[in-house]
Amino acid sequence: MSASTALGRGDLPDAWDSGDAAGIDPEHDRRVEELKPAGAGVAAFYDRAARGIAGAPDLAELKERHTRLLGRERGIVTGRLAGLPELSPEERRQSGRALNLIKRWLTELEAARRSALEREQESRSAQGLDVTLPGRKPWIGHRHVLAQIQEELLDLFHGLGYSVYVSPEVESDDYNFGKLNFPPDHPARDAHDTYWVDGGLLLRTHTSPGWVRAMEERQPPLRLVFPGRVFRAEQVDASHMDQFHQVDGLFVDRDVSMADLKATLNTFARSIYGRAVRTRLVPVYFPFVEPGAQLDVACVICDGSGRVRDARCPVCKGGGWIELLGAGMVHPNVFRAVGYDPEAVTGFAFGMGLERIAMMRWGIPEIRLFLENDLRFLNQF
Amino acid sequence: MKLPLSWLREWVEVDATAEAIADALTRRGLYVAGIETHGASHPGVVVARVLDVARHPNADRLSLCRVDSGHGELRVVCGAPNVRAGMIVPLATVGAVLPGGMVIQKSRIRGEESQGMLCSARELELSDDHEGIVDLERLLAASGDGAAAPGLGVPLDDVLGPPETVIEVEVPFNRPDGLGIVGLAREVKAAFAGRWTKAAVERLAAHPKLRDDFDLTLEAAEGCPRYIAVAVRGLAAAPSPAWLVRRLESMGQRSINAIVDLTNLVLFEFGQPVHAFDLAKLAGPAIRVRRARARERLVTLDGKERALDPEVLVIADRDRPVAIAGVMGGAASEVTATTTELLLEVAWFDPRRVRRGSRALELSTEASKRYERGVDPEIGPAAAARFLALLKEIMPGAAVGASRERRANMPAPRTIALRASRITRLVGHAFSAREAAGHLAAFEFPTRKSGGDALHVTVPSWRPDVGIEDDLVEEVARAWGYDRIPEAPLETRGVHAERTVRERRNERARAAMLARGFSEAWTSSLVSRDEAVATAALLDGAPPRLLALANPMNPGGAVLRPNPIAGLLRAVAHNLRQGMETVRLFEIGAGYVARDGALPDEPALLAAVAVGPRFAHAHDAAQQAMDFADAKGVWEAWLDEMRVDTPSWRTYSAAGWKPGASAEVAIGTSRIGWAGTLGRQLLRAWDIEVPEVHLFVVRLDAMPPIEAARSGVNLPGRFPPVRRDLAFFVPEAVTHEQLASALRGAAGERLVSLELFDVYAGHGTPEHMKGLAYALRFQHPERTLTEAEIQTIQDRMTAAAAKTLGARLRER
Repeated sequence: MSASTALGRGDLPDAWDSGDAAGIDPEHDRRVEELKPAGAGVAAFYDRAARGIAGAPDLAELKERHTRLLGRERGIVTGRLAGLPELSPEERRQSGRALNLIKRWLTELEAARRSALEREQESRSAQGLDVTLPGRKPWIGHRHVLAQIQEELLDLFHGLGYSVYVSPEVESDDYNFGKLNFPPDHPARDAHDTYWVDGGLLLRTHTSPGWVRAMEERQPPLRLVFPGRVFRAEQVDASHMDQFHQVDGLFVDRDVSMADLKATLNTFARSIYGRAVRTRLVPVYFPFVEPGAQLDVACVICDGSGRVRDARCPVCKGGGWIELLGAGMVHPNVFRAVGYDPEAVTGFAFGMGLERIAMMRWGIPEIRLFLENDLRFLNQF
Repeated sequence: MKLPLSWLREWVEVDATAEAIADALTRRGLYVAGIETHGASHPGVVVARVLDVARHPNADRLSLCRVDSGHGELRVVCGAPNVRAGMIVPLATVGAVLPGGMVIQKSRIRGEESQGMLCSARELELSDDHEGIVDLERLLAASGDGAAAPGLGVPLDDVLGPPETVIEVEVPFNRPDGLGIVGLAREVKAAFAGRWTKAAVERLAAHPKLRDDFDLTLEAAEGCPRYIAVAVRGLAAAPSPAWLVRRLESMGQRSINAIVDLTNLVLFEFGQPVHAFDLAKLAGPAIRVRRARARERLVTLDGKERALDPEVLVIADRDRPVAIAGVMGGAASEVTATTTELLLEVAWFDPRRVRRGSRALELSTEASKRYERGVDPEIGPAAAARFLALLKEIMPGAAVGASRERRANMPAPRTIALRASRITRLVGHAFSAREAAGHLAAFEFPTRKSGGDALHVTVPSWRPDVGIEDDLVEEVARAWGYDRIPEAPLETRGVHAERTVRERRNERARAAMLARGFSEAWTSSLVSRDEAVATAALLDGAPPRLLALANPMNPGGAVLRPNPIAGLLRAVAHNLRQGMETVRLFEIGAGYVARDGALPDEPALLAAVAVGPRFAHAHDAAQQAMDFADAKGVWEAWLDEMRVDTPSWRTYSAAGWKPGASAEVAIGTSRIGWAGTLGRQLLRAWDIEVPEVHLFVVRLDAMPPIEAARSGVNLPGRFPPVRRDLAFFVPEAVTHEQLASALRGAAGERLVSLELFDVYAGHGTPEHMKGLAYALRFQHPERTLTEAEIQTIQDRMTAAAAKTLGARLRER
């Protein structure tokens, strides 16, 4: 081996010898023997280098030693390999083989020693960790129960081709009543206890003014839903709130009939209460529809029997049915009010309350809970 | 409206159960709210007299009674304190079954034999009274049935009447006919293809014989197209018969006296209010139907003196008003038990006129409720005849005296053309004109064919709600049955749904707050004026243009909120009071701001509040109360998720915030929101006593649309970025935002990120300065930047910061 490639034990610190190379490499002695033909110095160098790797006390020192041996710029072995081209072909062949073996074996040893040290370090750092202790937990947000119901309804109607239309909460008498065929001085207005705003406006008592605005803006065919907050001037108690939420729907086209209405409402009822739900459509009066209808569902508590354990069902009050929503065919006067020709188009509309659906679904006894925002309530949803 | 079955059966022959009738009415639009049974049956309970009362030898509280059961004398042990000799009582004889199911047996009570039981009202299910046994004389006197004491041994049920089944109908506003037994009977008749009873046919056709000699003038005929006045003389005080008392009781109406009871009976039966004046108290005697004159006053039957105005239609005698037309009679002409002659009024008033009077006087009665909705203008004579016939039954001496009917401008019967094709089109099922006519006939609508598929339909006088063709479509549909309407296949018909920009924006805003661990609140739109003013001041120095309610229910809901802050603070206060230590809530909702000459502005706002520690759980030093920076980090992350790329945070101050701890957020020059920590004084107004409440408010309408926020994509660079750190000293007043924006501006596009990693003061910091240190990353998309290039950029940044802000590079 020439000067530029010569290696010897003296190239490395004496202290390295304390390492137990055979402990991590059962082949160690054989490998040292194998190197001897390339020179006793080479074999001795390898022996000390291997012991140095095996005995590296920690990851930092291992890295240090590895760099010293195999570092890209200043590693001893790397340097010797770089000197190979200067040698005669014969020397190059012999030294080259030895150096490459050393490089390969040391790389293997370093990897083995490194994983052993890492394991050691990891188990040291995990010592005393009680995995049963609670974690550092971030907060979780909950969607409001009414938002969930509204989203469910809008998703359903979206699937049936209905887009959302948002209209003002503060309205004029004309849009809340007049154009919806509530004649002035008509007793039907008595059912809508109205909050009046200074200056003659009012807080809408239903979301139906939205139909009027939408129809004034657009031409049929229309398929829209109108979600939003509505107001009634009522004393608040367990079952009355002066603010609550509705979703109205409207479908206007050349020939829309009660058969279309029934299919739509039943699809809705099945989606909310399951495919087996029993429904009935009965006549009812609203000024803005003719014919008018109400969809009832069989009481979910008593299954329509009206009795629970030999007593009158508290939810349907013994009737076996629960009002789910109001509906009907849009009144010709409403069409006239928005400039539609009632002979040219027909349409149906429906409206429902979110609170009612939520109260029935979860057995919520108090309507006031919805706007109280008690986290113990909100966070159950 | 209550519908007692026995009364219904007096009018129609129908062979159906109460349940079937209720179901049929509901399916025809007269919604039945419930069926109730009034009274109970009491087999084996008889009328008895207590002969004498002795102390029970073995019990202080019991007595030993000798009782005449009408069929012999019995010994009964009784525990009631009110039992006394001579009392008429209900006696449950051996074998009697009480409504609760108890069977009476012969027994020994404390050693004494008892051959029956004296009953309390509760035991008989007459009322909840369990204080003592029923005093039958007093009970019957109270119900107006003062006739001779019931005979001993008579079954109690014969005295009290059999139990009554009452169907409670929710009559819709448009069906005044449903407010009379006759109208409901007509619906039942149609539903079961039944027929009127013989008595019903006679009663409906009856017409009183009038003499046309009473002094009656319709001065305001537009408000009163029909008035029948009938004087009746020869009245003698007589009690209402038991059947009348029972009938009114089943309607929830107590007995007053025979005459008044009869007016009530006719009201309920025909839906036609009738009134009886004491004729002796009418000046003239004459009746003038006219508008009230200014400053006229009337004491009504309820004892209240009412100021009248010309909007109010009144019934006057020769001199002054004696009743408010269609609403309530006057106290001065009220009939009493001693009235010997009366004047019967059966009138038809214009619904709008009655409604105005009722509203002007804020007085709503059974009569006004019916007139407002529309009484049958043709039923008057039958109602008058019925009243007079019954009066004569009760007071055989009664004789019709002066009387007269006047009519003016009576509504003419309406005729409406109905096309079978219209029914088919609206209902979605094919109808022929013939079928339609059949259904309408069941409701007594006369029809006539008028060529093609059309019918001429005459609307009966009792159906003022039917005015147009589509109303008849509903009549046909409900007669046929909504149940039979088919379900059409759902079709798109070329209309597809779209999610609006607003929906998508709100949904993302909501999801982004939920992801930060905030729960969604829905709070009241109505707040107090103080709350509105205080919260508006947080966001804008100027006083808010509030919308106040004209008729608030309480001061806490006097105005519409300008923003959702007050509701969230109420929620914070509520939850803290309930013992929670953390409140993280947000709301997406409208504020309301008045505008001149237009509907109010309803800006979409997002507001969020945070109180409490950083983590839902942590038991180490990481757990700290949220401070300004924690909160701001949340708001920044939210803005990031809303794709607001470079929001600028600027110092901002307004009343209500903790001094120095509030900021505004802007995109370019447009302000989109506010954030900060609230001041103690503001919080005290909501009784919130925690040190820090963080608030964030965003004007969602001012946010850039999510779609437009980013155009195209930046391809990730293949050449690794170079990181450099720069630390500056800047004058204390210079903000991070100022320095960062100066640095960014000077750096140009090779600077891909700039992140603050340290703020320091103290050792080594020049006086009145502070240190800010930034980690910079430079990158070129197509090659590795050279050291020299980076240095040039850095120099440019340093120079700009020095020039505009007096920043000095901190030497290492």
